[in-house]
Amino acid sequence: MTPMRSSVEATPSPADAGRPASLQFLTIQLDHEVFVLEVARVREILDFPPITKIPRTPDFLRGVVNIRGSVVPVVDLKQKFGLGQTEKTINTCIVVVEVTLEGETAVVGVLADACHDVIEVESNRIEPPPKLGTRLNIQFLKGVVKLGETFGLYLDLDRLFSPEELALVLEETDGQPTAR
Amino acid sequence: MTDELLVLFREGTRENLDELEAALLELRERPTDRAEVDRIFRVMHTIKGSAGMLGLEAIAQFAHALENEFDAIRTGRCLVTPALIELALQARDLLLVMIEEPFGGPPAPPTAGAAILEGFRCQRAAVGASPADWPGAPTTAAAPTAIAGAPAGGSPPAPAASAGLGPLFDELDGCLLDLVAAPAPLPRAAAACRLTRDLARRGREQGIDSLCEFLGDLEALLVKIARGAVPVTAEATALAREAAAQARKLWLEATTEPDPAVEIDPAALLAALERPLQIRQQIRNHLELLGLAAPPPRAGAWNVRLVLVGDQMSSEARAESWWRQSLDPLGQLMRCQPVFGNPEATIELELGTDATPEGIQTFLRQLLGPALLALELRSNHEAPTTRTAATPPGKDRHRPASRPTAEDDPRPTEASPEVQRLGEILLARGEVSPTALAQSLAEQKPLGERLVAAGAVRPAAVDEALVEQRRQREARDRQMRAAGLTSIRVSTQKLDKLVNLIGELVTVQERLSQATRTLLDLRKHEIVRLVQKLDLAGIAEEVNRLTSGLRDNALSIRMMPIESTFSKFRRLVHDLSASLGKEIDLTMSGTETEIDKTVIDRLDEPLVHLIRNCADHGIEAPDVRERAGKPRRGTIHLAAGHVGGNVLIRISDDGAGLDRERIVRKAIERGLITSEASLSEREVFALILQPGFSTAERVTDLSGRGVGMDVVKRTIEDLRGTLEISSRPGQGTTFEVTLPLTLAIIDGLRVKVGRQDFILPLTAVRECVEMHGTRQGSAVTQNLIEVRGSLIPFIRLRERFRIAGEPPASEQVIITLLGDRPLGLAVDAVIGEHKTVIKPLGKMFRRVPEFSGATILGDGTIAVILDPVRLGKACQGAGQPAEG
Repeated sequence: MTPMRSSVEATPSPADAGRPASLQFLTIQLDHEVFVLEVARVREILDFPPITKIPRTPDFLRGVVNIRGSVVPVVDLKQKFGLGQTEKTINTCIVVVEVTLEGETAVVGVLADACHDVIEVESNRIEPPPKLGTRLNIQFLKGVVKLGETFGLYLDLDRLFSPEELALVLEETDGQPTAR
Repeated sequence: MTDELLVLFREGTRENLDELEAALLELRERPTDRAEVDRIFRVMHTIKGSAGMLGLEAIAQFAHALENEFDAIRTGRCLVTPALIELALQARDLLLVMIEEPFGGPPAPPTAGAAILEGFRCQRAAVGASPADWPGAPTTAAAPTAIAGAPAGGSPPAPAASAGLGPLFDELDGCLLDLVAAPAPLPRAAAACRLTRDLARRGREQGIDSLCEFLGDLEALLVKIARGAVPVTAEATALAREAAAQARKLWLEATTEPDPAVEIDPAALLAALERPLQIRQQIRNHLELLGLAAPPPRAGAWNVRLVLVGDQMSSEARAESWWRQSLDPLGQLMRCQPVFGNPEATIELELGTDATPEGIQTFLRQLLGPALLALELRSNHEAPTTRTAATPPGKDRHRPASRPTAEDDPRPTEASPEVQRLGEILLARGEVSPTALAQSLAEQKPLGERLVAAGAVRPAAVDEALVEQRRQREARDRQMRAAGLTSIRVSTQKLDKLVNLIGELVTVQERLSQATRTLLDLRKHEIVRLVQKLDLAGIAEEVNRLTSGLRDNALSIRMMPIESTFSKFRRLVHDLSASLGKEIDLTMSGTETEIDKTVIDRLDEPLVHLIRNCADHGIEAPDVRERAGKPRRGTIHLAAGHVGGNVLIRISDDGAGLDRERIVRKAIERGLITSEASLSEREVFALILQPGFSTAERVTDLSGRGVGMDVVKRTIEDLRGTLEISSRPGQGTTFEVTLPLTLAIIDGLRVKVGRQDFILPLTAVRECVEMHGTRQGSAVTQNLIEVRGSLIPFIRLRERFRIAGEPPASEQVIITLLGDRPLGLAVDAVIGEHKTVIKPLGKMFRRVPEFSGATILGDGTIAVILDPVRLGKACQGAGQPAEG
C-alpha cells in the first residue's frame, strides 16, 4: 500500500485583491488523459479499498465502499468514457467528491489511475472545451485548462450525475437480461 | 445563543400550534366544551409568553390579541361559531408562518393578522358588545397599534372573508341562533341587522338583485326587533332564521353555475322560486300583526346621557365610531360627547330614532351590560323623561371592572402572572392611593358570599364548589409537575447522532466477536489458553449484551405514537369536507401505536394523499349517499397497529369503492395494459398506483391529476413498506400500508453467494433448508424444492445477481413469505445472525428495488441487505409482465 492517503484542503485560499480570481484544481490521470477537478469539491483521496459490487447495476457503477462507516458509491469514469476498466495498481486511488444529485449534495467516489497535484489556475485561463480534437464526449467538460505542455480536462461533475445521466444508468439496469 | 433559543422556540411553538389546531377542531364538534376553550387559551398564552421572552414582538402581540379573543369566548362574551373556528384556524396557520420568519421579523403582525383580528371583532360584535369591546379597554389598549388601528367594534366585512359571502351568512346565522335565550338579544339583533345590510350591499355589488330585495325585508324585521318594536319571540326568530337560510340559498343559486348534468324538476324549480316570496309575505304579515307595517315617522331626536364605569373610557377618537356603529340599527347618532372622569365617565349622545323610549333604554342597557351605571333619556326640548339607575343589584359599582369576567367566573381561574390587575396598574400610575384601593378591595366580597347574599345559591353549595375548585387546582398542579419531570425535549439530530454512534458500536462489537472466533478457530493450544485466560469470549459476549440493550433503548427513544401524525389529519379532513361540499367524519383507532420518528416524518405526505383520495374519489356527495341508502355523513377511518416486526396502517372509507371496469378501461386507454389482459382484482387496483393514472372524470384542485398515488407508492417503498388496496363496490376502499418498525438497525441473517455477503431481515426468514444437487429436472421443476411434501419455488441468487462461479454441491435455501405463499432463496452458505445497522444505498441505486440498504461487516467490508418481498415481486414481474 502506498502511503499516499492524504487530505486536501477543501477551501481555496482567498484570492488576493487585484489579481483575477483563481481556482484550485486537483489533477488526476485516467488512462492517458489528465482531468482536473475543483478542489472545493474534493473531500479526500483514498487508496483503492475493497469494493462491493451491487448486483444488477451497470458496469461503470463499480459498487460501494466503506468510508468510515458510510456507504459511498464508486464510479469508474474510464468505463463511462469508454476507456476500459480501471485496474488496481500501486497508483490507483479513489477521489471522494461532492456532487449535486437530484438537488441534494451526495458523496461519490471517483476512480483514478493516479492523482498528481493541486494547481492554481486563474479563472480567465480556463478555455471552453474544444469542439473537435477530443475523443471524449465534451458535454461532461466545463472547459480546458492549460498545464504547461499539456491540457487538463475540466470535468463537469454535476453533469456527470445529472438526472438525465442517471436515467441512462437506470435504463441500462433495466435493460439487463434477467437471469432465470 | 439567540439562534438556539429561536430553534427551541420554533419547535415548542410548532407543537403548541398543533395542539391548538386539535383543540379548535374538537371545539367545533362540541362548541360548549369549556375544557377545550381553556386549552386553547393556555396554548395562546404559552406562545405569547415564549415569544415575548425572545422579544418576538409581532408574534407576542398577535398571540396576545388572539388570547383576548379566546378570553372573550371563555367568559361567554363571544359564541363559538363555525366561522369563528375558521378564523382561529387561519390565525393558527398565520402564526405557523410567522414563527418561521428570520429572527427579528417584522415589527408588527402582517396585514393578514389584522384582517383575522378584525374578523374576530365582527364575531364579537355580532354576539353583542360588552365592556371588553370598549374602545380603550385594557385588552385593546395593550394590543399593538397595528391591530388597534383597525376600526374597533365595528362590522365591516373581514377582508379575509371577502372571497364569498359564506362567512357573513355564517355570522348572521350565529347572531340569530337562539336569539330568544340570549342575555342581550337586542344588540345581537342589531348586529344581525348590520350583517344583513352588509350582505345586501355586497349582493348588489355582485349584481344579485333578488337577494337584495329579499334581504331588504329581512332587514326591516331585524331593525324592528333591534329597536324593541317587535318582541323577541320564538316565532320572530324562527322567521328571521328561515329568511337568512333562504337568502343564503338565493346567493348560492345565483353564484353557482347550474350543473347541466342534473335534471331540473319544474315543480321543484317553481317551489324554489315561490319560497322566498312566501317568506317575504310572512315577514310582512308578522309586522302587520304588530301594527308596524308602515314605518312610523321619525319621532325626532333624543338626548341620552349615560354614566359608565370610568376606566374604560380613554380614547374618544375611536369611541365615536364605536358608538356610531353600535347604535346604527337603532337610529342615527347625531352627536357624541364623552366626558371623562374617574371612576365614572359620562357620555352625551344625540340620537335620531323612531324607537320608543323603552326600546332605546332596553337596547342601551343590553348593549352596555354591567358597565352602564345610569341612563338618562330626554326628548329634545323636553324635560328628562326617564332616569334609571342601571347598576344591577348585587354588583358593586366600585369594584375594579377591567377584568370583570375572570373575577365573576365561578370556575377556577388561572391568575396569569404577566397580566397586572387593575388595582396594580392604577396604583403604579399613581391614580389611586393605596388606602383607597385597599378600602375598595375590602368592600368587594368573594363571589360566593355575594351569591349567597343575593339568595342565588345555598351556602353549602358554595362550600362544595370551593372544595371542588381546590381539588381541580391541585390536580392541575400535579399534572404540570409530573409533565415537567417525565419528559425532556431533545432535537432529532442529537438522537440520530446517538443512533449512528450506537450503530458503529454494534459494528465494532461484531468485529470483536469475529476476532475472538478467529482466534479460537486457530486451534493452537497456547492461543486458546490465552483467550480463555483473558476471557475474551466472555468480554465479547458482555459487550454484545450491552450493545443490544443500548440499541433497543436508543431505538425506543425514537419511537413515537403515531397519534401525532394522525391528529394532523383532523384539520385536513375538516378542510376537505368544506371544499368538497361533503360531510366527512374522521375516526381513528390504535393511535398509541409506536413507530420510528424517521418513519413518521416521512409518512405525512403519502397519508395525506391517501386521505385526499378517500375524500375526493371515495366518499360520495351527501345526496348521492342518501339515495344509496347510506348515512349522509361519510366516514374515513384511520387505524394503526403492530403486526410482527411491522406497523400496519389502514385507511378506509365507506364510499363508493373503486370502479373496476373504469380502471381497466382507463388503463387500456393509457396503454398500461392490453385489452385482452385478464387481471386479478389486486392487479387491477395496483394500476391506480401507476404514474399518470386517474379515473376522475374531472380534475379537482385536490386530486385527480394522476399525480399522487405513484408518489405515495414510491415514498412507501422508500420506507421499505408496501401498499395494498382492497375495495368493494358501494362499500368503500381500504388502503393498507405496511411499514418496518425502524429504519436504523435490524436483526439480520448473513448469507454468502460466491465471495459476496448478503443480509436478509430475520423477520422475513421462516426456515433454512439444505438442498443437495437438485440440478436435474425439467425447466419447469428445476426451480422448485420439496419441503415436507409441498413444492416451493425458489430463486437462485447466484443466477439472479449474475455472480460468477459454480454453486457448491449443497446449497442452502432460505424460505421466506411472499404474501401468503412461501418463496425460497438459494444461497451458497448461511453464515449466521448478524446485527445489521442499515445504511442507505443512496439515490444512485434507487432503481434496484430488491436492495433495501447496505451494512458494514465486522471486517469493514460491505454487505447488501436484501428485501425478499421485493425481490420476489421483481422476479414474478419478469415472468408476468402485466404486474410489472
